[in-house]
Amino acid sequence: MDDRRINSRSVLVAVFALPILAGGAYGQGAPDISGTYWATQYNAKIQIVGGGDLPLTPKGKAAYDKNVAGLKDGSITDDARKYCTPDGPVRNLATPYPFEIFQAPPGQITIIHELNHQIRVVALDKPAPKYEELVAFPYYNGHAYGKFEGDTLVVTTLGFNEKTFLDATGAPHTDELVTTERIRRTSPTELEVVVTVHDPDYYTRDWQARFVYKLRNEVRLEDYVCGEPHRDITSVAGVRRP
Amino acid sequence: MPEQARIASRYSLAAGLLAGLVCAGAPALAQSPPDFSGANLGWIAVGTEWTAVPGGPQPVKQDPAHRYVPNNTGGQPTFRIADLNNPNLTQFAKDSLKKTNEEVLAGKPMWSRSARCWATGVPGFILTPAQPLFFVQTAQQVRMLHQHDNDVRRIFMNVPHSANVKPSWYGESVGRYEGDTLVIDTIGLNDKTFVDNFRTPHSEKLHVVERYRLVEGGRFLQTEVLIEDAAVFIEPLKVTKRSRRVEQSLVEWRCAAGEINYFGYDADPVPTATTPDF
Repeated sequence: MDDRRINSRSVLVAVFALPILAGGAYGQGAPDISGTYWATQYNAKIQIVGGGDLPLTPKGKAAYDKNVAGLKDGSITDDARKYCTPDGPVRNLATPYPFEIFQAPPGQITIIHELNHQIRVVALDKPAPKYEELVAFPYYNGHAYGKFEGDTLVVTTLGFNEKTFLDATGAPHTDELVTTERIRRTSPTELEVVVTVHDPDYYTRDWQARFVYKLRNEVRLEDYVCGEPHRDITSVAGVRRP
Repeated sequence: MPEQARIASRYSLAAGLLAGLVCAGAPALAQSPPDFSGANLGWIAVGTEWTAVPGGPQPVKQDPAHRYVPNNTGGQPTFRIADLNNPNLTQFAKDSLKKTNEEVLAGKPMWSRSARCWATGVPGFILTPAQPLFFVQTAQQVRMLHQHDNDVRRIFMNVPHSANVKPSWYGESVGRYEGDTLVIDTIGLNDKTFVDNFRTPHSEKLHVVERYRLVEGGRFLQTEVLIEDAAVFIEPLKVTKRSRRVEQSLVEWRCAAGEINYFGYDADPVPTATTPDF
């Protein structure tokens, strides 16, 4: 009896030990999208799927014009570059710095950016609350809820503050913005994120942008402290350092 | 290397690893690695100072000639004044702390570095109060995520230190599991951070070994910290810190969204970029 108890305990311990020992994918059968990723292309201005300009409403156009003018004459500060606040929705996907995806701890996807101390916690398989429930707790990068659909992690994010731009040129958004990211491995070494932007106050229709990253597990993320010299990002096409 | 040889070597490596796992499997799995992580599990530091290990050298403490009143204790809060009579401090450490003491006594608001939004380094990372610390653990990596400023430490498991480590805020941390304990060894720290909230300095030769384990049925995370730096401590300092288990998720938390300078004090500046990074 004692021997049997020891054996069954060992098996139990082994089962509990597995998540940490296994490392990669959590969430039984979930596709493995974990790893360190780094873009090869940077665009200051967002490139929308299908091409063309942002489908701005008159109100959205006024907000965009105000941002562009303010960033140019200095009356609006780009806090993400001056104080290293989070880049916020969509712009965080355009990062020229590497980032990591962990499918851990269980029930959560953790996305850790090198740039600007951004950690995105994606709650798995939990329904996203309504806008009204989150409006009192707005975040730069919003509140994220995800689920796997086949090989794709679908992340719905809402509950944003209005302190960020969708791109570096000042593309605007409201606090009613909802983004839906479809994240998947398109090859063993490539990750694709297609984001759908839903913000009817500023945009006449939902629109999408696509971002592609290379798997770079040999890269170690570094500390990022505002105002200090950081890693070489000249390998990312389109990056301009002042 | 020819393709066949490469494949053969890959298979022999895989076979070796498998054999190692099978042989070592039973003892390795008999003691599961400690898991401090959870989607709804964090750890809040109890207190903001180190606790000495009995019989060992004492960490820096408050100068008994000056009363220290922490926040939220009913009285007018004061800033810390280090006791320079600590016999384990080198002259370099005493000189640095004396300068800090003099600044405080002259009226400078000596808020903690974390309160001014600077990275706290190692071992100061686990002294940041009020906000929880979270873990992400996989076989190869551990991430320690502090809710305060969403700061991150990266620990690479079961690998040696790099031959040449460029000094950085959190240095290079390598880790391993020893039974119920996560052991983290850190070198390559820059000298911009402090060992404690008295602003005890350190050099780039600082070496820190942290041993994390659950105690009291998992209600607390106990950390034993060995701090070695001959520039600062005559004997290596061994201290402990406890963190309390809390059931909550990591949330976005920004320290500075602009310069903070309440009451016009001459406080440390917050990290700011004079020119955009890109």
